[in-house]
Amino acid sequence: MNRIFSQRGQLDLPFNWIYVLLAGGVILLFFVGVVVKQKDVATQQLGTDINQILSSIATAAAAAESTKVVVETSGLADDVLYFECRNAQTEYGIKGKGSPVTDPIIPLFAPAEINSRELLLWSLPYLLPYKVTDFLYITAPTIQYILVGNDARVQEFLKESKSGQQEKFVLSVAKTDDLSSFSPQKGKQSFRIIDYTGLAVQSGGIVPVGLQSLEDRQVSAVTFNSGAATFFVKKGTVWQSEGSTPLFSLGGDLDAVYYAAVFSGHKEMFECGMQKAFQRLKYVSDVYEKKGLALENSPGAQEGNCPVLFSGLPGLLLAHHGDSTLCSEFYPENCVSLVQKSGEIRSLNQQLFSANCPPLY
Amino acid sequence: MILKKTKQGQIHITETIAVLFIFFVLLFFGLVFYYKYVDVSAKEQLAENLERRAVDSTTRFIFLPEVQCTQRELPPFPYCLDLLKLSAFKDVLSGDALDEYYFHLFSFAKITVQEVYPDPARSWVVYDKPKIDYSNKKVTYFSAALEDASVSGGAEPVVHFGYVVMEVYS
Repeated sequence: MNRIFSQRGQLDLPFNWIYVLLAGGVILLFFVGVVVKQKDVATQQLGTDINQILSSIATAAAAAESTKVVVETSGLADDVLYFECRNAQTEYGIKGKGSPVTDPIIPLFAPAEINSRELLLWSLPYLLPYKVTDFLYITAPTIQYILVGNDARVQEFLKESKSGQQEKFVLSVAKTDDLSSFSPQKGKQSFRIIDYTGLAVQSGGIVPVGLQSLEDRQVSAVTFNSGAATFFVKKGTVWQSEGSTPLFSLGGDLDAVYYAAVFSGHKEMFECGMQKAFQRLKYVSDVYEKKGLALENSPGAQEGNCPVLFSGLPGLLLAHHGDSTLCSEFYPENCVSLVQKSGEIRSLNQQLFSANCPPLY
Repeated sequence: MILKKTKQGQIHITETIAVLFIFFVLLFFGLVFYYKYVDVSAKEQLAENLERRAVDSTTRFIFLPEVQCTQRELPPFPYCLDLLKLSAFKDVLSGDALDEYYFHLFSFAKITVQEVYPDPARSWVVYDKPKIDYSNKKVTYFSAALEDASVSGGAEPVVHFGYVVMEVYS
């Protein structure tokens, strides 16, 4: 009898341990599962949060005109920020993390990818002839801009590469007269050549020796010639053209369209951003057309020489609105007359100012 | 002997059931606590997002080229809205523009511009896209100068004072 009891005790002990181990294992597995799931959710959430914060920063930077902002992104030093624009929709975010931000409103011009501890955000108003929207440029100190030529815009870019208010806002810009002997600055991740002569970079031309050993995606170029921008990508040791696109702008200092071409990684990014601007112009010109009519009938417009000046305004604004609508639907083919009409409205507005009449803008 | 053995077995089974019962009760409480925590966190996150959206929408509206004064600033007021443009923009939004374009900017929201001086009875509902079954609503206020070029003579506009009421829904 004693023998039987002892045998049962021997069986009971391992059974209890096996039971405890199994139950413990199941419980442990459950909590490990919860932790893993939570970590995954937290990573995705962090990505989404950062993308939302980026969106808020972009909104604020685009809203405040002509601002230069530095955003510390040292926490994202190992991550890559990407920017894409298709069918008038910009998508940006952290590669492989969280839900990206989709923005159909702000014309945003940026390289395809940025991996940096700092982001540099700059906004400039797009005027045609009144303010249509603010262009937002996003870049980083890890990108070097190489300026070729002696154009006034070269001097302007050099001056604007630093900010009076934001000490940390420093664009990496170098000026050269001889691109072939240019040696790139060490520590930079990518290089963009801005050729104001329209001659230094040609399709099929040789990429500067100092940049040849870099990966194709690290080097790009844009040239300006006869009111158009031509975009180039590096293919081995030669330049390959992505094509030309007209620049619809009234010119002047700090021309938002020129800088949009400078900061766009590709032709597609530039054209997509411009498309967004023209979609906005359709509505802004509608507002100004209605304002013009209201102003024409206002007491201020009845004094002195004002009625004569105002008589031509509604027709001009109506035509500009029509052109804007056409341009927004068939960009860039139907945008040519926009610039001419904008010039006429600007001239008339200056006359209204001079004649002490209420101006349109 | 047989009776003793059966009793011992019953005690074992009861013990096991009791342990399992307590384990599942604890697990149940743990899960309830966890889901409650997740639910509260999600609600807090939603409230925070709504607040952020309210601030973003107000910033967007104040600097909207469609309503902003063309001089941008009208000292001493740093923020200024053009009443002629505001009325025109209101008309533009009464068409397809709201759903086609401006909904991407303001989403479900109501934007009202209220004049305070000289005529507090004047107000303009510029954008109105309510969410019928909204779960939360956030209201923010922002003061601004209101420029009226329609009532003055000459190039100098009359300046009124008011504020923007931004109501956002989620």
